[in-house]
Amino acid sequence: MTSSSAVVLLPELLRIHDQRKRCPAQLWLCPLDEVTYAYQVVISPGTSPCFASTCTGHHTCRQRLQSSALLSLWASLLCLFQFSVSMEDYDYLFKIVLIGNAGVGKTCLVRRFTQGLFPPGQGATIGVDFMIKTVDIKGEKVKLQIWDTAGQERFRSITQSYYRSANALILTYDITCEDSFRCLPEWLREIEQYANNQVVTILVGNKIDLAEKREVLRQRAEDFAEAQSMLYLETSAKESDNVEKLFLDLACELIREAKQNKLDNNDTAPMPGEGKTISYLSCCSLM
Amino acid sequence: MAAEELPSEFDVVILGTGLPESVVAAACSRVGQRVLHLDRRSYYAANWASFTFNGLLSWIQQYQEEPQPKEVQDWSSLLDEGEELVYLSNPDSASISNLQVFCFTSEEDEEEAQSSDLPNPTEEKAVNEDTDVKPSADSNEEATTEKQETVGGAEEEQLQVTPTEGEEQDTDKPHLSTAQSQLEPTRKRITYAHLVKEGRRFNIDLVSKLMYSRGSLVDLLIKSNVSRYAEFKNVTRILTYRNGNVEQVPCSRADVFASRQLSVVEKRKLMRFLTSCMEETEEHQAYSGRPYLEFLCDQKLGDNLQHFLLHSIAMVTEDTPIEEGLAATRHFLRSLGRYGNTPFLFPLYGLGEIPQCFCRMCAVFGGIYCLRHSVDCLVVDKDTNRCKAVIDNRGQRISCSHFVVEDSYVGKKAAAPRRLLSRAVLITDGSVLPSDSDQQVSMVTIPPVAARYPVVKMVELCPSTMTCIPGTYLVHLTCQSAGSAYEDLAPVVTRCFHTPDSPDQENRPSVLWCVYFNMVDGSGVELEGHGLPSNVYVCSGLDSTLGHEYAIRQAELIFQKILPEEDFCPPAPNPEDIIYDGENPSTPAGEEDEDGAGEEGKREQSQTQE
Repeated sequence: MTSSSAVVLLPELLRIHDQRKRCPAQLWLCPLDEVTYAYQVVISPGTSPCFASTCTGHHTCRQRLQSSALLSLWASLLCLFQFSVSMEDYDYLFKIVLIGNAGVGKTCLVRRFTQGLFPPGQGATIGVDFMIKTVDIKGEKVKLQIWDTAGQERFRSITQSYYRSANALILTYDITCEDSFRCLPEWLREIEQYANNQVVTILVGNKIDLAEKREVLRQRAEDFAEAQSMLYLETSAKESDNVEKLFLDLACELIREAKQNKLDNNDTAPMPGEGKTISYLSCCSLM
Repeated sequence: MAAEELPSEFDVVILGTGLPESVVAAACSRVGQRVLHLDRRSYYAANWASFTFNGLLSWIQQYQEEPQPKEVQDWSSLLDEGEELVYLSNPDSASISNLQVFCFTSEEDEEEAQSSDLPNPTEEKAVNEDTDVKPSADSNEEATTEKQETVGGAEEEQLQVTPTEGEEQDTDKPHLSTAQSQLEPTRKRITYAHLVKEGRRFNIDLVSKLMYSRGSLVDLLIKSNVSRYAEFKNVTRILTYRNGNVEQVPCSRADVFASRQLSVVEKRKLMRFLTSCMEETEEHQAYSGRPYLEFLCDQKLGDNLQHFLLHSIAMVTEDTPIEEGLAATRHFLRSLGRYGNTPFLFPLYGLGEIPQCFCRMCAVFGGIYCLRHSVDCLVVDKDTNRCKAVIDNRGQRISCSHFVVEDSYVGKKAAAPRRLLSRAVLITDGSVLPSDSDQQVSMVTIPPVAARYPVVKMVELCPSTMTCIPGTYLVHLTCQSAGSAYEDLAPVVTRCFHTPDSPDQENRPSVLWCVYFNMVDGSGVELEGHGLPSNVYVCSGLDSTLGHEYAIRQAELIFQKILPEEDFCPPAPNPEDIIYDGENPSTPAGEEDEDGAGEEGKREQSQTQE
């Protein structure tokens, strides 16, 4: 049961298995212990955090694996080594997903936070899936994986799979654009349909540096957020106002929830995408 | 926002978001082509989609409504000299037929209300069946319950079925309720209202397939890094229906040793046979052209093993030639043990995720997506017979060098009679083979239940695949059509499950709700031709096989025709390996990425980040 319940993450498994280059007939014939041992290394939830990470140690491990003799023992040892490396890499991993109309500054928020810069001009999202930043919260390393819409919001065609297993949603609008605020209920419907129930949602009004062009009053947005039980924050990606606070607050909230969930469902195995317990986050992660 | 105009120049325009189309989109976009990907539907993945329960109900409703003939607009004013228009056909409802819905659970949440006079929950069910026995679709869809079912011509057939159902039920009802109440007095019934209320948590696939661990889809997901968008689960066991029982098929070496059905001699024979299968031997050649079954018979394996090998491992029919049988057996064995005890994987949230993952990859590399948007016609250059542009349903002319289209849009031009697939989707309240764990994902092979019936493949999904709610199982049945989906599959359903048609099966899981339909099996459709220009490629719909080999091979072929020089889906760079121009890298460089993905990512970034 333990092994069957684990979520399989393809590429990482490939990295282990292909080193072994055993033909399937041999797999049938090789000693039973070896097979089950391989499964333990590969599939049991306890060890899977190592597959969740793409820390720098990973690359070296992979290369050594490839050049080394194809001994299963080697692979397993290195895997355990990787495991210990990656455990130090972070305590929590959260998937944060940005949504909102095109042009409200989602990408700018992410880049301001992860890289500390404000990209001039438009259309810089090509080739970037998500950005990663590890932050330190009260001594705990939190790895934030921040996903952007890849432009699919432009014609209202975001894939459902984008929302799957997100821990938090940042719903963004532009305070200088009434239209982007009026679209929020539509986005909420989409969230309700595809995101998991316990997802943390935060409403963000961006571009407060353009205060003279403001079209959506703060009070109105606060009321709306309260009615939908969302958190609310106003930011400026350009001036870097509140951007750091946005992501750090979110990280704190997610940690708090994760700890709470861990207390709540100590004994029940979490379901992927449903629970937000620590074991889920670190074991069956998103990469 | 929706009023925004599409850009008017692309390299590749793709219509339809099924699996092959999505893979082509991702592949083209990945190597720098400007891709526009459209679908007239409001959801992704076309006939490969997964629906919530409520989503499926509206999908059913849509197919039960009369298709409205679309007005053909004349866009000839948009033509230049030397060009002509080729209209695409109106694809609605062409690919789905014989839709029939049955609800065998009580409509409303009346357990509490009735519990005093009806302490026995099964009796309540029996009572409700009286009212439900006419296959009622849905309390929310009163309009459609009137003209039940049938887009094709199954109406008569339906009329025949209903009375028999009623009769059987009347005669057997007392027996049914007493017997079952003794067996499971406390089983909680899940009502229809509950299914609707929790409907969001269902992900019901229109197609039913599994991913071979060493199949081309898994390889492609890994190669292209698209796998980062999805999570997967192992199929945990292979079952087969035999002599009226569901049995587990020993699959891996560990299974074989642990199996209690097999004798020691059988175990040894099975292992020896499977080992010998992996290589072509003279013995195999001697049987060339003869059925695989004949070969199996001559191996003197015994009935047990022969059944397992033919139906569950090779998954072929009794007259399949040996070459095909051996190839299928090898494919199965090759995939075994890569990720688990069986050769199969299933994506969490259903198969509809997979095309969407490829679409995301396409979008990440600049592909533009627009659902609820279609193409009316092609603009063809008369001299070169090439498609120069397309005209969308709003009359916008969009130029392109290549056009890829789902086959249903050119359906009427292919005159050949189409093969069909029969599908059934059931929501049940228990597993066909209960075991210690209630989170088993099972592949069940069902040999023909009688002469002239097809081989049925059944996949039973548990709630942890994120496709159904706790307390239920989602069961998919698929076969090549001999008759309508109901005719083909209902005999299997009544044998394996407890329904009003099979009241004596009370120890089997009950069917709460089910839908039958036929889909077009597009595996014969040619990529080109159809009287279309040479730079128009047609993606056929589904095929009847269990794996995804056909769709992926097709996508690769189309890609090679469009871009013969380019690599098919090279790995996308890791987000952590991307370095942006003109800034201090805050993340360590992925300099050692042996496949060059990091390098490539950097180069591409510097190009896009002016």
